[in-house]
Amino acid sequence: MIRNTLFPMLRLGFREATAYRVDIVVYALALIIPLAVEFFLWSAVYSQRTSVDGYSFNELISYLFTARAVSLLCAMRSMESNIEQDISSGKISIVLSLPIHYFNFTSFRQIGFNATLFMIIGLPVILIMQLIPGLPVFHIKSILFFIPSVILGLLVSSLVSFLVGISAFQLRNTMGMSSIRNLFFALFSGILFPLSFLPGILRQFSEYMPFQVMISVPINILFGRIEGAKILNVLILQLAWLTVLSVLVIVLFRGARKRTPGFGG
Amino acid sequence: MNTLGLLFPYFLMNVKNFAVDRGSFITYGLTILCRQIIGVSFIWIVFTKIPTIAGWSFNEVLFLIGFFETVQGLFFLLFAWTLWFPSKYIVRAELDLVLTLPIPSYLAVFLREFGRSVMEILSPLFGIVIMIVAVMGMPNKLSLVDIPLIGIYSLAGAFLIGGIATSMTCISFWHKGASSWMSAINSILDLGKYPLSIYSNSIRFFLTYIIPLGFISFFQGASLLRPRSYLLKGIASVPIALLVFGVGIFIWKRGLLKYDSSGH
Repeated sequence: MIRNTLFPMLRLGFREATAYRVDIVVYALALIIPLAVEFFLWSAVYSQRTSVDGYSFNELISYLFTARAVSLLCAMRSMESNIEQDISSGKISIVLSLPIHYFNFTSFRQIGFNATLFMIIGLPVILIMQLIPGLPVFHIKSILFFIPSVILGLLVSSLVSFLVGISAFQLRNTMGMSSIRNLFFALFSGILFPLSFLPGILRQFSEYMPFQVMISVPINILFGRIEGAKILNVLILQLAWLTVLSVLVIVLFRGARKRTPGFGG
Repeated sequence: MNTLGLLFPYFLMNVKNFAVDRGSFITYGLTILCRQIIGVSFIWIVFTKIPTIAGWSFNEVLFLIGFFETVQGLFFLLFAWTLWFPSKYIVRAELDLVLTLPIPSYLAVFLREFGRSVMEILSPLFGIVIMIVAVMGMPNKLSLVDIPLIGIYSLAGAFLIGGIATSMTCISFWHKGASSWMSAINSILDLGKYPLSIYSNSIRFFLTYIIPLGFISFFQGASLLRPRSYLLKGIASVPIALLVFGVGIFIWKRGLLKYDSSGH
């Protein structure tokens, strides 16, 4: 099943990512320019104090660069608009007749796309950060736990984006839902700052959101900030989100599919 | 004069096309609102850690961000078409049609697209709200004279970005294939969002004199907040914007000579 359905979708994503080489430069710029701005902003902050909430300047910069690199894997914006296009153009009725669940069809295409970008842009950034003296070095053990954690984060992210995408069945376009998802992702995933920077109540709020398991949890495992028995706890938390969202996707998609006018109903 | 008379009918037509789907009004507004909440919350969280950044207080930075959003919104209102110009006018060769019109081609494209991004008007509105909130929290208020200045300065910023975006979109005259680089413009603009004082000397020089992103909104906003040190640079934003926009038009005219329609 995997060889016949999922691999072709991954390969399709890979081909889309490498179709235009100029695009890679654009994605790299979209990664590096915000990081440069954040670097200078935080260095202005750290010129007045040596540590913020337990992060030294080097640790924070390393965190931010790694988080952005990992976000290349987890951000699924084009998946949401792809689903919207399928629905509004009516192409969905063809796709639904294929012997592959629509979730696998869209998400593995996006995952293949993201993995390619991550290999070309994200991984080099992380490796370079490892070679610069003074920046935190990852332990082998942390990396071993990071890999399953980031895969779980990736799947949770694709489930959330799928839910946003199929909201187009009701709302006709996903732009509004997409931007709300984007707002929560920016503030509560830990991509703009470590979640410990959030003031009290917002920080508690972020713990109950699925967004923290996309970026913050895997990155904190990688940096050794989550260690020992706690790793097991957060992996279970990720699995719990995966289960809850999978059930939601199955139920809601079945409901939406019944109402698809293009499907003879 | 006849050409300017076309402004309103084109605007009305494009707005009507946009308004066919009423849902898009709400979702577009929501998108702009979310974008601004992210920007303001981020800077608010940074300021919970520290009272000033490179000498700028929270309310001053908030004012500058409000100004930046206003300028960016005006830019998208007037020049958002530069984002889809390569695919629509070059690859699909709609420029053929434009070139038959008896008005200058740049103006013609501008008119045809004017109003398509009408919802970006919300961006300056939210930006103005941010600026008002910021000024309320400041010890020394702005004077009434500053209000028309804000208008002139933000238009200057919008035309400056317009010039840069025009130059970038003109690359498609020479290279048809890929048209995706215009999506990099949002990240490029971010370089001018925060006070230029945070950057190192060489980058500050680069952003002031080489690619003048500091004149998008920072120098104008700073000249209102601290006229003693920034007044001249604030005023300079107007001629610099005209210069950069002129360069954009110049590149456009050179590019037109290269234009050979589709199918080559």
